[in-house]
Amino acid sequence: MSTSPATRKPLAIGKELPPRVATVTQEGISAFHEAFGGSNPLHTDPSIAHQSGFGAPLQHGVRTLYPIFAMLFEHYGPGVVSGGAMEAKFIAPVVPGDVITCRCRAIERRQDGTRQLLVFETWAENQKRDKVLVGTASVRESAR
Amino acid sequence: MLYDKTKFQREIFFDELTVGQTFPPLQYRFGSEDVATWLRSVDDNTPAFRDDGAARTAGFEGALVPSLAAMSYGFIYQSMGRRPPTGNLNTRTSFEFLAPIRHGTALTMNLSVEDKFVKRERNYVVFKGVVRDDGGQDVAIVRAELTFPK
Repeated sequence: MSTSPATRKPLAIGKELPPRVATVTQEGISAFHEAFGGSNPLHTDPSIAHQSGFGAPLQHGVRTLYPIFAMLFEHYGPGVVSGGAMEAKFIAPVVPGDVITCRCRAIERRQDGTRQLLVFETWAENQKRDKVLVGTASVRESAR
Repeated sequence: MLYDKTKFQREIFFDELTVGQTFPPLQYRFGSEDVATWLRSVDDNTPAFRDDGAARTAGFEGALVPSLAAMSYGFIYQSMGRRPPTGNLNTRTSFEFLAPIRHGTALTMNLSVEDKFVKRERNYVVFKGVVRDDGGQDVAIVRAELTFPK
């Protein structure tokens, strides 16, 4: 993690974590598919993807979402894996060659019982600035 | 390989699933090699997911399984013993992270059908998985909304 939770300056509402940018490759999609995906050929077979109305095999939604989890973990570690939450809606296909930027913007601090939560608006956008994923996430800022 | 894809080659269809339906508990374990495979497959190199020392520096007892990996698509299909028909898509997902997961922890996932509906002539099923560690503590609750082709 970049800093320990004890020494980190609280993120102001409206501010973003440093974004993560990655270029999608078929090799990356296939590696995920082989190890953790199902058996849906939409992720690996260009002809099936084309027949289904997509220009190319699709990246799995969870693979698009993962950098947001990693960004939050980098900054909030225990506050993510013990008391954090994420939800996401996949709104556009992600295919090889896309350059995906994942973003997290703090939108609210909220008390949940004894826990203080920091809530983020999260999204991923492609090289055209089109959003491909939208969602929210929350991390625990205080002791349980 | 954490699961055997040959066990879910047969398709399961929308009409076979009912709200409240449950599936046999699925047991699995993310060892260090499995975590390394996950990290390679998502292009991540977060130290606390690879190294006990880095994890302790970050406030944990040892190297962690990325919580998001606790229930991936393959586990849903493995639990059902079937898979959705070709052309299905994951349209929404949510995760509640309840406790850290150490490398090698034995996990049990209980999968159920939380909802199913038709919207704009598309079939949707929402699966809910509750992942529990070998100490009996729930470590993650995951929901995945999948489309089912007609």
